[in-house]
Amino acid sequence: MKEITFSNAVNEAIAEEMRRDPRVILLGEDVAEAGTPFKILSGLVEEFGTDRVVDTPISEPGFTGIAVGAAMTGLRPVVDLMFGDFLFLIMDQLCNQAAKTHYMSGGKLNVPMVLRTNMGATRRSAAQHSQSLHALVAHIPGLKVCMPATAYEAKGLLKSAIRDDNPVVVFEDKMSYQEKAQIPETEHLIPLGKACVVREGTDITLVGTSSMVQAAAAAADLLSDEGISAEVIDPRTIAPLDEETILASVRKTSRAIVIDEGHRNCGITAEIAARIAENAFYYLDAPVQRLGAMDVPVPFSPALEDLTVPTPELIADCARKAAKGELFRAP
Amino acid sequence: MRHEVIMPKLGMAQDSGVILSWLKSAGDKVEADEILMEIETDKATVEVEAGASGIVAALRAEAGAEIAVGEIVAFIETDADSHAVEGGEATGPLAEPGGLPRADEDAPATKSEPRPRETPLPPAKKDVPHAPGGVLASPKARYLAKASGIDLRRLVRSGVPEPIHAADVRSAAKPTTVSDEAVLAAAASEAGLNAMLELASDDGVEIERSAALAAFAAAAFRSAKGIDGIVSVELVAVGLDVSRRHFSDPDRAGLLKAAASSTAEAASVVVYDLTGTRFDDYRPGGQSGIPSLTVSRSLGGDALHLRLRFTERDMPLRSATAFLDGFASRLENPVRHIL
Repeated sequence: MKEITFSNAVNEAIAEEMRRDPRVILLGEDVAEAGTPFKILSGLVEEFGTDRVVDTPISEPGFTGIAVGAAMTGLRPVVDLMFGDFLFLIMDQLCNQAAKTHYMSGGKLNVPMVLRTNMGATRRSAAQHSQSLHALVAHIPGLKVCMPATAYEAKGLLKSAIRDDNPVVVFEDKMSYQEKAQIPETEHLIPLGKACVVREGTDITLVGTSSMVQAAAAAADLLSDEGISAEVIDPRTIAPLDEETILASVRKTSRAIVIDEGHRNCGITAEIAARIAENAFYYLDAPVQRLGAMDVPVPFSPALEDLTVPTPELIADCARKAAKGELFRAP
Repeated sequence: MRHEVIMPKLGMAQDSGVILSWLKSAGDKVEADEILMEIETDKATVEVEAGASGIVAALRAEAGAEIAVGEIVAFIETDADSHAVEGGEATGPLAEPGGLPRADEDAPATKSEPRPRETPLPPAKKDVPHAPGGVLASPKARYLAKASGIDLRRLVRSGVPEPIHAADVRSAAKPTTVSDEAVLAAAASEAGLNAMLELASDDGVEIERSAALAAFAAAAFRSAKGIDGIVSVELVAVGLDVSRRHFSDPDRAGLLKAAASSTAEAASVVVYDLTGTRFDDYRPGGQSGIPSLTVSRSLGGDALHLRLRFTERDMPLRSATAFLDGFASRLENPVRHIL
């Protein structure tokens, strides 16, 4: 095992896959010499050259469309979308073309592309660079969606995504890039569609995505001091969603809180909570609660921005109420 | 005084009328010439005046109901002005001086609790305490209750706060072992009860002894556990014949009206009446967790032995003592119960 940052884990995953498979190419804004504003891709252009690491003009629909075409005709492009907020620009390329080509070509064409982008607030980047928009793409059949929570997952999921024959969107929390974790030195792949139990518990299930896994784990620490045993589940991919791991946990604990940094309204938390209600209804001893980003544009004011994101204290507070059987009223 | 509003006879051939609407609700002030209700006969639609000034004490039928001519449809408390409290709730006198309920008392209980203004009483004695879905409980609690044959209404009546969770059901389902069972015993004179029954009988009013025991038990239980909802008493007369009867809210119905209901609903408390027999004590096999009170008579005296069996899990000792003491003092001094 070795300890590396989330950012280095992404870099390693791409480098390893580019070495393994000459069809893997990288394209996006400032991916070559600049190595992206977050310096995630530094060093790749030196190793693989500008034929395989392509700086594109500032046109997200343009380079995403190029990637879809390249994927249809035999390459395996990894696209870097500088901010998740720019997804709105590429909805047609991603959702109408990449997602549907295999289906509409009668299975003759595949689109084995990966779109890496980011999410997450509290970087003081204001409303147009702080959104978590994964629910938008998880809604579209034909797209897979990964939400790595740690360096370990970032590397394992990204390598699996690059090897997948379907379009896969990977959301990385921009506040996690410098977080470190232990990862294996050997080949490391995490299957898409398989959740993991981060921490076992008996009283309540906390389902967290991306950086909310850490928030949930911190809440579990707070709760364990009070004698409440929380189980933390990380779905890792929200499409496909590993329903069984979540349901098995809820059947055991009878209570669940779903935490995600997307907006609460119509968020992925709603989908997970609904599946719990549909499939584990008779096991529930408390209403399933959803915690998401507040339903407002992310404020630029740091004081206000911090209030919009679920915190370990908020999660613990909700869990406490559920465990004590207080009559719950959704905010 | 209580003014009775009856369904009027407006035509020679008319034997009933339909109440189209009430223009007043229970608790409202009304003047004698104010319209109280609108009725429809086979010939006409007519507005009916209240006929007396006061406060609407009770509406006995809902709008839409067809009522026979001469039936009482509402009561107006005419001297309620002096009793009216702020907010308009009526407080009617419960009983005549002397402590006994009026023989002709026909209205639903009018104790001094404030009555909600807006709810007209359902027609006649349609006793729907808690619909099966009326208990607030988690899906898991419901599932466990169903699986272990526990009536959630019983938990509510035994004072478990809603919403009911799985832990409440599990704790109720846990078999009561002998060691869980607590016993509290007391003696009480039955002279007071006997005197009341005799006095009533002299006045030509027969109060049933079992109904009185059930009412005392319900009232003592309600006050000991602070229950607002239904308190249901199962009265088991244990003798050479065993009879089981259920009383729903016997304390609120009034001593004359406390009739056994046919439905075997979940009991809040069970009373074993051994007073008519030589038997001294009885404890059923198995265990239900429901508090039980055994009443037996000692040889020769007028003292009754009271034994309360309960689990401190469901009924803390403080509630148990309050219950047993309340029951005993009602036996000894029924006036206390009536008041």
